Amino acid sequence: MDATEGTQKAAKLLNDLQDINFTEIVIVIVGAWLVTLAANKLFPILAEKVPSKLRLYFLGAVPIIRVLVLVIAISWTIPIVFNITFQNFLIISGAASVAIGFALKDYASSLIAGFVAIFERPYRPGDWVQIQDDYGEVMSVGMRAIRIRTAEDNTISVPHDLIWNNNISNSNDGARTLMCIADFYLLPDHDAEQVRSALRDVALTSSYLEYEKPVHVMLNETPFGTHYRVKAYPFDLRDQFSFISDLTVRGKRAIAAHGGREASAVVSASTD
Amino acid sequence: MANSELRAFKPIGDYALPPMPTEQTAKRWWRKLRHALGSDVERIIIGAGALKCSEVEQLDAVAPSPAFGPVQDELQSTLQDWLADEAPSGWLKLVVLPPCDDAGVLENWATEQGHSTLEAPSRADLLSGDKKISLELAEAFSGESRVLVIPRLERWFIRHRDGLTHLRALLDALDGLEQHCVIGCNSWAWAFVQKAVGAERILPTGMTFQSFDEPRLRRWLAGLASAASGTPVTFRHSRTGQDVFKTVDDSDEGAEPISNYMKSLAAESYGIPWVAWHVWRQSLRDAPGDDENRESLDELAVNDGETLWVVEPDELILPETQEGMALLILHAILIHGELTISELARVLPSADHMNVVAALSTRGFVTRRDGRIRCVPAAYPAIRRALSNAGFPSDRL
Repeated sequence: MDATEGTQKAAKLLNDLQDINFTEIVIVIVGAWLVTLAANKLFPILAEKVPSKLRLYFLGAVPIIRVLVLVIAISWTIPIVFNITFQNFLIISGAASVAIGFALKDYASSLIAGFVAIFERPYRPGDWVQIQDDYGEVMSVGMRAIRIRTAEDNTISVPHDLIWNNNISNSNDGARTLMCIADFYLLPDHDAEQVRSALRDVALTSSYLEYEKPVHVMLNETPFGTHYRVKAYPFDLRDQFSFISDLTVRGKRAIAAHGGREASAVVSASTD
Repeated sequence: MANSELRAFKPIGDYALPPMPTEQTAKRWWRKLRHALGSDVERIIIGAGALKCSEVEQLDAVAPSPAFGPVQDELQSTLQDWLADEAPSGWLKLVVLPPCDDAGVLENWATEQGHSTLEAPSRADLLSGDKKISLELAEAFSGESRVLVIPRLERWFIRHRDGLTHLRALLDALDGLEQHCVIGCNSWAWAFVQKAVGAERILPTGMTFQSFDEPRLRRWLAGLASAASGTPVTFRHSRTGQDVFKTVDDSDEGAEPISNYMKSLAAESYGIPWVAWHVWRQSLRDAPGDDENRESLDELAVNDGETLWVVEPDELILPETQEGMALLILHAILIHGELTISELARVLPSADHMNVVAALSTRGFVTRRDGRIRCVPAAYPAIRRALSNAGFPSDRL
């Protein structure tokens, strides 16, 4: 008697096979896959074609579209396959919990972290982030992991679940620009006011400078000399390395013209 | 243009950009898509390639210089009360004009009104960091002339760490000056000097002319054409055959034109008269010499005295592989007005720009005269769009 009742319950968990429209399921899955593929391919291309100020919006739309498509596809197919009742929901939840607990714990953790990341936005496509030792541009935000391309052109996959216990340092947080810092180390015997003024002019006359953001030159004394930090913003964050290089090249000339001597050569010579 | 047409200069920030007709934008995208799909069979009256370029004499007859039209008179009209005031509330006036003003509104105005002009130092002097500049300025400002004009503030600096000394000295000398002084600056240079030296703390709020919207532009260009002696000329659009100056009811006051060309030209040129003038002159074509095409055109223009055909300008395309460097070069030239090759090397982050300048010249973005490189005025709309799309810091009128 109990076995018969259990069998009947199991049968009612799933709809009858003849009632399941497999064609519809295949169409929904294929359609969802095509839409996601199109968004993954098309939006990054469009992001490079549209005006610069719209680029990050196009890149940021891809993970949102993917989640929406997934939710719609799941919501569409589940009622086709399963007999949705409260009791069946409890049975499925119980089975899923066991599976997740033993075999898919980390995968599920990354999936949930990915979902949370879409709302909390610790990173989004187009952002430059530092996660542990890796700094690079977020190329895509997948279901389980993000892909970062570093300045050395390496592509790194970072699982979402790192956000639970690690700091995510985001340099631009969705903005079109980020702060760039050019460091200089000078021996102490120089006119700091003149060098500071010259370095400020170096930043103000850069071809890459964003006018709406401030320029700062900070300095502090270290045991090896005076450490200058030129802080400024490029108008396009993709130019950050060209901008820092430009500041460094012209900054070195400015320092030499004002009688400054760089500390690094003397330090390395003294350690030989 | 009649004196009643003169419009007073307004503070920058109040400049109203002429709107582009919506259907024109849609048509342009549709044409681009058809061209991309290889289906370019639009019905047009006559293609631009079948028409002859107009002779310079013909252009000078129907669209004579100066390219700035009534702007100089409007400047005088705006400033005359202030100039007559022996004790004005402010001794300085800043005139901010869009770039590519090759004809020189302020220089012409100063010459015609008999005002003294303060010449800018040479570019070589700008980079010398010469400290004697303050003394020279003090001498210039203590002169006899009542009104002093500094026509181009962009000639007083070069975008280099050593190139700001003269500009700073000039601003220091202007601070506290008790003499009528009119300073001109191009709008891109003004954006730069505000950032680089905080010029807005010493100079007053700038002013500029009111934009040339469709009615104003149409009346101005029609006036230039009608002032030409000889047979009246009809200007027909090469795609539609419509008379670009004709209005719905043939009147002038508030009438709607039958062709969208002038609206598009006003919007495309950002309301800048000299840009519109150069684009207009570049767009004028003569009827073809061959009989086959001439016959069909003669049918359409049977009631015209003389007909000139108006073609749409070719789209300018930046060099594909060096687009970043091309934009840096164009931005630098807009800020400075004009630069030599060696001066470009001083203001750009790297020196590998020679071939890019050549490519820009070939494609019609820049022109070289006496060793100096300038932006082509008719190319300014394309340049501005490209810089804006790439996120470059822009001017603000």
